Amino acid sequence: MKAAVQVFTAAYKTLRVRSLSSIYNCVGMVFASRRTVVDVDYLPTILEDDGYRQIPAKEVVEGDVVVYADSWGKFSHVGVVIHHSPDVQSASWKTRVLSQWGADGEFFHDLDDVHPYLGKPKGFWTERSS
Amino acid sequence: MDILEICQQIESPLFAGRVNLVGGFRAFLDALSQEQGVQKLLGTPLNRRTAEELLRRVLQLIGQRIDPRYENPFDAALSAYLWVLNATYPDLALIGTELILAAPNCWWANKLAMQILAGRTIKSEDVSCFLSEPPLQRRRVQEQNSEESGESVIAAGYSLAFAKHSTGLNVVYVTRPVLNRNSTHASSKTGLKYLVTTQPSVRDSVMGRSGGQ
Repeated sequence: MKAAVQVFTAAYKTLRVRSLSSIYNCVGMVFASRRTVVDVDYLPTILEDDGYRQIPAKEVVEGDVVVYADSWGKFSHVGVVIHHSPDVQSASWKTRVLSQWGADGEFFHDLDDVHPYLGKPKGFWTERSS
Repeated sequence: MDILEICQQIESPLFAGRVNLVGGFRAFLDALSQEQGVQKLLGTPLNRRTAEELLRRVLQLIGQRIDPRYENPFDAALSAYLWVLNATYPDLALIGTELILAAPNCWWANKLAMQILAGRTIKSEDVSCFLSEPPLQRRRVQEQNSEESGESVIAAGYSLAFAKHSTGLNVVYVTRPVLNRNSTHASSKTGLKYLVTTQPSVRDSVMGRSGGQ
């Protein structure tokens, strides 16, 4: 785990370690209070059963969920948005995420700054009713 | 890069760190297939002897002493070897699954082994493998009829032997230690026999219809 962290923090400039544990994975961090591993293939079911809905970037607030997908469009990773603000310079959004990278630890990182195995951002989801 | 260098790459902490990034079994298999070491193994023509060498690596890794509080550090490597064996020599992969299922604290390798045993990822359906101890008398006959054989003793009391039977069968013997209940060390050994054949009729003639099931 330490070897992996050294490599990742060197490769991804926005990456900051929050904690190192392999008790849970990304889905377990977001939906199971950091207590267990839940296969990411169950993510669509969890989102639906828990009443989550997809929202556009302009409606995102801290605490909402960002979902990543692989090249086939299947969900591959999930994290929690901890900062979201307009980036005037690039005419987009500056989004900071907290997510557990498999069994390798929990990291703060920019939205797009993840290992290719975790996929690319596919959309934001929230359970907020309004 | 020879097989030893590839194996060292696959057994490194960095390899485990990369493929352990993912959050699901399907994603793990995707990651495995994208790893350079695995691609090299699959890209080079893997002859039977090399595949048997991979199986020996599996035996060596599961014999390593590990910290029982944590995931087996060779979980990813065992998965990679099993994945490659399953893609090239499914008969050897089936032997690997039996061994890996007995290995402690494996997560991904255990899932892959279960899936292979369930027959979901086996590409060749004409291979059958029996994991049982044949009657002693039949074993003697089988050993006498062996045309060529080889044995290698590896770590932690495990040994692996291959024999080419006169009928054309490949017979693999795996000997592993059995813990005495009153002792903390291996005090006796038993033989596990793996009979690998593509011909059920020959299998039945050697093992007996009730012997191999």
